[in-house]
Amino acid sequence: MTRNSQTSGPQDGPTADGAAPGQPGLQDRLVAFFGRLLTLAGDQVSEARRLRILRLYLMIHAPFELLWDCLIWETERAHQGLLFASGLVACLALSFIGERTQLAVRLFVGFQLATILWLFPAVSNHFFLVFSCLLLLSLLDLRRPDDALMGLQACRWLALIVLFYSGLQKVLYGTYFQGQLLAWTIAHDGRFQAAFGHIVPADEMARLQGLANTAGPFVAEWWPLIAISNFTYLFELAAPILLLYPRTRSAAVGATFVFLLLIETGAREYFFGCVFVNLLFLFARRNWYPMLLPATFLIYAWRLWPRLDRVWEWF
Amino acid sequence: MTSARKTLWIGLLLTAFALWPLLHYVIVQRYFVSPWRLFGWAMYCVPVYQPTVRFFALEQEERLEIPAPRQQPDAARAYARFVRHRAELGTLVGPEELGRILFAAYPQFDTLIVQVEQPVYHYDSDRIRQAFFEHRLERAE
Repeated sequence: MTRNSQTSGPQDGPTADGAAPGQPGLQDRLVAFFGRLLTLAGDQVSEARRLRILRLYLMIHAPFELLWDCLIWETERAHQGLLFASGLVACLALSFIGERTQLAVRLFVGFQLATILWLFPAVSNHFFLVFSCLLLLSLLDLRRPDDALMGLQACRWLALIVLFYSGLQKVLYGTYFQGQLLAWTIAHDGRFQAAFGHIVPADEMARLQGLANTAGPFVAEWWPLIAISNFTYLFELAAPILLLYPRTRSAAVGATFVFLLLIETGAREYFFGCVFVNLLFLFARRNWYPMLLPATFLIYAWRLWPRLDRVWEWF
Repeated sequence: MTSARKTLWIGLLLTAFALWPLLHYVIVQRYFVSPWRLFGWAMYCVPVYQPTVRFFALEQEERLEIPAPRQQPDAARAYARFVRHRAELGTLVGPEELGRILFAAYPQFDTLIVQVEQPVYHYDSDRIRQAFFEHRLERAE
């Protein structure tokens, strides 16, 4: 008896990425891996609803920040900046019309990319953060619960990446172990002098201020200042883990919020602070945006007010 | 787009966001790029300083310092742009554009040297040291 090894009918050939028949291909394995990774950042569809509010906030933030910059640029550059800001505002307006939200977000992201290329290399990191969030959200239809959940997870991961690397970079550059960067910043920056003037002893403050416009060495001598410096990167490295773990998530949101407030007393990077706090509250169990957004826009109005005089010079 | 395809794209983008800061660190170390720029999340890691740029003409191997080209608006703009971009992008930015303007402003010289003095944080001593970079430019035939 002979055995015919040939079979008739359709057969499973190798998959497009070369995997054996019946085995998941690279693409399938990547999708499964990314799916599991995204799920680590939460799986509550009810929490995902607030993402539309965050998207709206980010679409208001981007043209506002550009307008704010235009108010200090020389006239020609300001006019160019206003063109980009107008494009962003037009996309924002389009997002309110009927079923065109996703198209509007994609156009918005396109305008943001054009703005980044125009500003390059002087693009602020938080402008890129806003762009990155909206780029991720532009791939999703937030009316669908599964897409909204994926958007929530993606934006949470983005916040975690930024927070973690803010800490890791401080370790890699090695300027926080002896309070070196803090010493240099207090020596040169009035904002940090004002913030630390309340807690640093007068003699250490005078010593640090005396280092201004010298070659250094820039090292803190008062041990609590060294402790604050080391705590900064340790917190930034630990907070993402605490934000991922469901049991510690709520406490970590509160702790990170306080941490950001303390940093902003010195750094006063209000736009970065506002964007990041709004991202951070995606981790909160409660929807804080009805309180958070009015507070955010109050800060924006306070920032805009002193620069409004410049508008009259344009006309 | 299917749900799997969206997961794939989101995952790939997040992977790129997560890996970029490591590459950013390497680029900063190698090319003196400002850590504050290019989305590496390395703000407040090192002090920020503006570079100082000086120009020399080479005449029979003698260096003769020449003033920065600030008289004409085009030249002043190119000079300001070079200083700004140099502070942000480090040695990734060359003085070629500025060189063309310099050669037009100084037709008597065929060789020019652009010297960039960049204050750099010195990790071992926690002091600020000056790093010097020189670009030798030859007049194109």
